[in-house]
Order: sequence, then C-alpha cells, then structure tokens
Amino acid sequence: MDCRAYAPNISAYVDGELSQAEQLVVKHHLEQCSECRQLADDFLHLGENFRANINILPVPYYLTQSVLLSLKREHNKLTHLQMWFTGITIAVMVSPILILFSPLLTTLLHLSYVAFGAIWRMLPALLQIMPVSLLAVGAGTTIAIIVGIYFIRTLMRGISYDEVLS
Amino acid sequence: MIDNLADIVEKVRSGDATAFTTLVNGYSGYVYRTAFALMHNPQDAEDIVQEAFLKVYRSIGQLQESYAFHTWLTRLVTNLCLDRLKKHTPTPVAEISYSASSRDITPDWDQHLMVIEAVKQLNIEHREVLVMREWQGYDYKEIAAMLKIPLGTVKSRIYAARLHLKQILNNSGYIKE
Ligand SMILES: [Zn+2]
Repeated sequence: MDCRAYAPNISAYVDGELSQAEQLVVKHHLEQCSECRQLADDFLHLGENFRANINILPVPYYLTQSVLLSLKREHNKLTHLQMWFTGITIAVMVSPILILFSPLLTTLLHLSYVAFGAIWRMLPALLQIMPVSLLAVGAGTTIAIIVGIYFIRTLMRGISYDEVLS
Repeated sequence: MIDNLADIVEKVRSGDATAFTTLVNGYSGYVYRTAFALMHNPQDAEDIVQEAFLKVYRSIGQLQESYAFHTWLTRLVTNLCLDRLKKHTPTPVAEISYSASSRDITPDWDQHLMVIEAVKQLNIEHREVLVMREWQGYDYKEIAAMLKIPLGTVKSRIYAARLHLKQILNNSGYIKE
C-alpha cells in the first residue's frame, strides 16, 4: 500500500473516526513514514487554525442590540394579537345576551328566522330548479372550516403563516 | 460562554426578560461566527442571528433539559444555515469590512484574513463539513445525519476539504506558526 491510499484514513484518524483495526494500521504506518506524519500534523494544525480564526471573527457591535430590539417587536406583536383575540372572544360570548335584550336585534332575528324558514321550505323546489349538487355544498363547507381553523391557529400563535404549517 | 447556563435557561423558560438578555449577550457572537463561517456573508450571518433568537424565544419551551441548550442552539443555527444555503447561493461580498478597533485583537491580522479568505474560496459542500467538524465539533455520524449523506461521503468530503484548504493556504503564501 502506498502513502496515497492512507491519506483519507489519516484525515479520519485525526478525528478519531476509524475503527480500532483501521486505527492500528494507520498508527503503524505513521510510525514509519515521516511524510504521512507530516500530513497528520498538517491536518491537526489546520483544524486548530480554523477554530482560532473563526473564534476571532469580528462581530458587529450593534448585533445584540438589534436582536433584542426585534425580539421586543415580536413580543409586542404577540401581546397585541392576544389582546385582539381575547376581545373578539369576549364579544362573541357576550353578544347573545345583548341580542336578547335588544328589541331591534330581536326583530332582525325574527325576520331572518322567517326568511330562513321560507327558504328551507322552498329548498326541495329550488333544488329541482337549480342543479346544485349536495357534494359541492359539502366541499364548500369543508374548505370554509379548514380555512377558519388555519386562521385561528395563526392568530393564536401570532407567528407567520409558513411556520404554523411547519 | 455563560457560567450558570442551566440556571439562565431555566429563568428564560419561565419568562424572565433579563435572563433572555443575558442569553443573547452570551451567544449572539457565537451564532454570528458560526453563520459567517458557513455563509461567508455578513448580511446573511446577521439575518441568521435574528432568526435563531426568534426561534429560541418562541420554542425554548420545547427544550427538554436546560443543560442541553448549547447543543440545541448549535443544531438550530446549523439547520437555519443549511436551509438558507440550500435555498440560495449567498451573494458574494467583495470585501469583509473590519472595523479599526477589531484590528487590535490579534497581531497577525493578515494571517487571519488569509485563512478567512481561503475558507471563503472553498465550495459550499467542503465549507459545510469543515465548519461542522472543526468549529462545531460534530462527529461524522452527526454530520451524515444532518446533511443526509452517507458516512463514507462525510469521511471523503472532510478529507477533500482539508486538502483543498491546505492547498489554498499554501498557494497564498500562508506561514504556519
Ligand atoms: Zn506514508
């Protein structure tokens, strides 16, 4: 075996990534071959050098400040969204009571009840006239529900859309 | 980087803002350097730092053990960088701008620039494995899993990357200490 066959294993050897048998073979060769010993030494130095030089890479002086600032913005955004969500939830929960006490709304409710009842009674006839398939209605409802759940999740997490799905 | 890291992380998890500032102070440099080493673009590196800490802020609750924070953060940063590298080749920046004050940190600044320039010349595949091995200290198995490549490829790629880096440095007249 010539030295070039050893070279890839020498790289793995300095990383301690060889099997015990392979390690012994390389070690034995290194004891005899100064050229390969030099290569192992070079690889080790290269690693130390690499680490040392990344470690002294200058960091922008404003980095920490700008990170903290954007985190603050994120926090405020979240709080804002949560406030809105709580508000809407309370409004939805309280509204039936308000409706019960509002004569105008009671009238409107009554009107819509009557209108809906009329449509409901006419439905068989309407269905015969218009070729509306029940399947389409079902599909539409399902899509509406999925979109609804999606938006509520987004709102509650307060984070961007792609992360909700991830 | 931070002495009582587990304590700090525990405080962050319970919503302590001061502890979070400590965490950002202690780790933003590390995150920036890691991202810079991988992307070799100051703007990308800054973006990664922002993204990384936003992720930390949102999902530190999912961290099982406080003492595992460093490993968790390293992986988070690596994944952010690898994703970004996959999405687009970073725009090459003509010169790395160093401020005058940072020049005083090291006497052999020319040598430093030479090494950084050499790393920049490596292709992304070589740079990735070298940074993961030499800077982040991942073993071959972990690198294979994160890059989704066979173990043998990791071994040969690290070897090729080292040879290439060595060659670039030799050609640029780098003096070994
Ligand atoms: Zn040899």
